[in-house]
Amino acid sequence: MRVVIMAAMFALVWPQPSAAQRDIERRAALDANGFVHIWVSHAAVRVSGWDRDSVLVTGTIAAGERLVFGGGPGGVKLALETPERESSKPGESRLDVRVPARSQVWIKSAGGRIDVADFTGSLDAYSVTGAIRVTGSLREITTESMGGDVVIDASASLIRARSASGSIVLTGSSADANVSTVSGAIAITGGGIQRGRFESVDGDIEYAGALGRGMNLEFVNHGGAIALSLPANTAGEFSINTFQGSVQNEFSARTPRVSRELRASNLEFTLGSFNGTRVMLRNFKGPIVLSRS
Amino acid sequence: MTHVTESRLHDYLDGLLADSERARIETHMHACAGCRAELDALAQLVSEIGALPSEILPAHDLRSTIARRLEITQVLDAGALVPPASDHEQGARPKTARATGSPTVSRHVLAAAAVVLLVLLSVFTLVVQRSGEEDRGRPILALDDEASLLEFQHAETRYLAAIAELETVLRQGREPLAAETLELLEENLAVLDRAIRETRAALAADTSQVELTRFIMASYAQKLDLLRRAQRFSS
Repeated sequence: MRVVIMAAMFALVWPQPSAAQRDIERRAALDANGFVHIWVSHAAVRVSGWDRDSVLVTGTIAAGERLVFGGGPGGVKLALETPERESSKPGESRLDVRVPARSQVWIKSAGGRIDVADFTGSLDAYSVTGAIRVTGSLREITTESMGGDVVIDASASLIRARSASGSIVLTGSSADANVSTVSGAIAITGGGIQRGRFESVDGDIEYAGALGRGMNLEFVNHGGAIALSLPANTAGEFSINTFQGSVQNEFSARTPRVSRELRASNLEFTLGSFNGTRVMLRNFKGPIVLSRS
Repeated sequence: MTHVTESRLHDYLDGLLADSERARIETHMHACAGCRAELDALAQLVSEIGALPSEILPAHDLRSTIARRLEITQVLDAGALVPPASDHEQGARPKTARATGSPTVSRHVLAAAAVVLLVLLSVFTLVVQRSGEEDRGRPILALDDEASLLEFQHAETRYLAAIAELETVLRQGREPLAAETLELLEENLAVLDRAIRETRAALAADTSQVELTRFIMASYAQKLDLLRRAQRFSS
């Protein structure tokens, strides 16, 4: 049901062509492990994998824009050239790019939305202000944005997500995840991250899910909150460290040990029988909250 | 053995671990590609930033420079940067002088573009300089542990040098940053500078809190990463 709802919402927000736009279609052969490089300014780009050794680009582009497309079996590059004086707006143009499911995709966008689905290869997606959304099961995921929000509802052995102001939502699973933002919020749900570092400076970090055996998670913040919502039967070793922030902990009756001059609070405790799971929480002045889900 | 934490990797590289711990980590490295890759990346970063110059460039006012840059951009937007194009050209190729390489751009426009370039060079000098101003103007922190102090100073110097190097890369970028990117960069650099200031103040008030140096280093790392990202978006 969740997938259906997401698909319906996606269809509603996907841009529809207007009279001033024109349809495009390009295709080229591409090896199963070939690369696809995509550059756009404000076009919305949807990338999806398919079980063919070729790339197909369809979509609608604004008047004055030009699709540059070329390459060979090893790699394909495509770019949407937008004259700077034209009134191209975010979402006005859209590209649907079908790629071999196991290929390597690299996308760079200024303000357009990037959606990636049904793809099992490796992805590098960069956007200044456009949102990035990734679903499916990929090999590796790297996303970077300045102001755009990032949603990774996918599994990958390696996930790297960075933003400046944009929020980052991670609902998938990964053996190794590194999520970092300056002022954006971070939300992690599902409990599928085996080894992860989640870091913000001013944004809140929220984690909701179970802690599996051998997990190693580190949460670092400066002014934002770190809030973990965990099942009552959680097992693991916790290390909490804060300097000017508060600690609210529903899992341990112990109060933080306060160092000299009341400048720092440290709390270490183990829940259940130790199973290799370690959680480290460090915050300078933001609150740290551990609550039972 | 569980994965090696970043701090242990730093200790490993700095030769601070006991032999037994070192051996344990090396055994783990043989079996764990992830940790090995992280160690390699860390070693490379340390090597690269260690080789960078530590010179800090002169100070300016970042906000006023950005404002000047925006003003000049507006002047250019209102001017004759774009040469007249035929209907065919409008439909088939970009119309900007930069994109088409048109030789018809006037000398005034070229002069204005040169001014924009110069201002941008200053902007990115200043982006980096802000941290340098704060750090150079303060007395060296007197951590209780002399070894920690030296390590902190060394790491901080390397970060500042790396930030300065990125500033140079940004100056030499093929394309200037868009106004919105510059605004986001400025906002988030301010957040990071505030965090560094606050953490430094706390450390100055209680020099026994060596842990605070890790917060400062984390903020420097974020700042470096943010500038790297801006550099990527400028090219």
